[in-house]
Amino acid sequence: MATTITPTAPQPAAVQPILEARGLCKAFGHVQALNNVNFELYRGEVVALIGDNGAGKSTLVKILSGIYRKDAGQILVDGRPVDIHGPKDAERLAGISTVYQDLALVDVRDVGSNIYLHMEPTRFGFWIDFKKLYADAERIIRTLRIDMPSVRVNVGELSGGQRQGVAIARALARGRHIFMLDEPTAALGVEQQHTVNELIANLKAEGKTVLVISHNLEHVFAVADRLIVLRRGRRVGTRLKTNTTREEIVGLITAAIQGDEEGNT
Amino acid sequence: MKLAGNPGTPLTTGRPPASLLRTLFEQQETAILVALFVLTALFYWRNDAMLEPATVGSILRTMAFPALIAMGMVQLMIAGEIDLSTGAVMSLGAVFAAKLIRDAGVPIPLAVVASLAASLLVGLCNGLLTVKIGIPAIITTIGTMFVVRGLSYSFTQGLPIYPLPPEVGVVGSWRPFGTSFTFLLVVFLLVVVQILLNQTRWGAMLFATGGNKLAAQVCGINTDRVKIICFMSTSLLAGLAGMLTMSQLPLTPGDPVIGRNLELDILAGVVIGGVSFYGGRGSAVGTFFGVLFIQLVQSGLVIAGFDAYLQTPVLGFLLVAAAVLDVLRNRRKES
Repeated sequence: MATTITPTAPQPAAVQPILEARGLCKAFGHVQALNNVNFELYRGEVVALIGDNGAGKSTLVKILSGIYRKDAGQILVDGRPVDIHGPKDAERLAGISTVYQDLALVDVRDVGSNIYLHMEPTRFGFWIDFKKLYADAERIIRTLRIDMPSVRVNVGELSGGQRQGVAIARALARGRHIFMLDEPTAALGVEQQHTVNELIANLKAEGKTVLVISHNLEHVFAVADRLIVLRRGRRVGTRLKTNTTREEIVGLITAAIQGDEEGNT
Repeated sequence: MKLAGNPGTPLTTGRPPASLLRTLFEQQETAILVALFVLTALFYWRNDAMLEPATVGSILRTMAFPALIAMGMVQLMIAGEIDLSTGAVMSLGAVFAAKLIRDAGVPIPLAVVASLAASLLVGLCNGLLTVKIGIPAIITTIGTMFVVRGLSYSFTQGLPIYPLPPEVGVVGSWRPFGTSFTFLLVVFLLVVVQILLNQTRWGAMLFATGGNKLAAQVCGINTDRVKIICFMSTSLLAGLAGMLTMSQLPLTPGDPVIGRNLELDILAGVVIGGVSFYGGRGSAVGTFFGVLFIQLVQSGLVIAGFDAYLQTPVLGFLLVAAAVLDVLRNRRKES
């Protein structure tokens, strides 16, 4: 049970996952949204969680980010079991930051103020040190290589891809190292999707770990190192991007191909 | 938009270029300032008395009361809430203090403190009902407006409480530079609130709470507490304004009529000053000018020899006009 690593996983079994879940179960009434699912995330990789509607992707992410309580199973951070009771626990204990589809940005405030919202650098603990705030914000924006007219522009004036960038920059500014992106390309045009792909690549280049939930296979194949396929609450496949094809993944999603049963029943 | 650039993509600082004129008029403070000048010129043209020191002093002394409360209201509205009970709390503030002083023999400073505490309690009720129960603030505060105003009349049987000791009028009869203590207090608060809004974490919390409550909460801001503090400080200032009104009136009566209809002056002034009904936008300076504008229109109509009964319809018209501007501005931002 301890070695949940599939034959196709990239890391040797000796490497400790940065975030791991064992035997997760979650039911909503009679619907078994997650059925004994194992999950692991290694430092510095980009994993795509894919599956059809109702496969359990969102449920899994919401358990990991502390929004839902699991019915059974265990969550481990760096090999140590943790109790996640809410989003704050997820951030504090696991360094997990979830970037939601609606992004939770304040449109009427500028980029810098959004990135440092409620953690503004201050002098004497009260006055906001705007000089430092904008300088720090610019540095983070540069790190992520977000194309941005200025950190003093109101977020309401930005494009979808740029907004995604601000949301990720905010998580980065908070020292988070695991980023869970829920359908980051859902509402975006083709060009904006490229922006998000680059954002994810840049996060990875910074040594961060990224979990992307997506329907968009093109996007998934562009950004992910490893793909985890869920189907009807079970994990049915794990593939390295380099070892699989779009056809195989579609087959796993739709059950045209029999799922791998290891560790999931 | 371009794709994300190279590692060294330079960030330009400052806003993207916009025409100076447009920028000026997007700043409501500038627009309201222009309107103030035009209106003053118009009234002056009708009647020289408009710019006599006595007239100006009187306008400033009168606008000081709504402006004092507006310094709380601007914060409340930036946080996305509203308070229509302010006029009633003024009345309660004055009447309660007067009653304690005359009928219970309470020393003046203690009566003032007790009255401020009562005002805070009203604000706390407004805040809890709105935030914890989830009643829209406009309904909550119309309710407390009736309750508080009603209590104020009931305490006094509708009659002013007097005589009060002459000390009650000391603060109100002071005329620094032809203005009043209340006006100086407003100027002081104007500076304080403007700094609070733009330079401190409190301001950032207010704009985030009113701009996107969810975002504020995700970042760890206790938006309920922020709003309750705003309700309480607005009520506190209303109670204080009520006592200052009493102190400034001839014979310093604890009159339950104090503050009648003033909640509308305040609301109109704040909105004309650029504070949004939708929350997340506004400034103390704009609010000050907005309230001054309302007072100028009301006094100016009389000075310029127009029908005094026009004051009320003009006030209503201005309130609606300001709201229309607010809606249009918001619509353009969305598109």
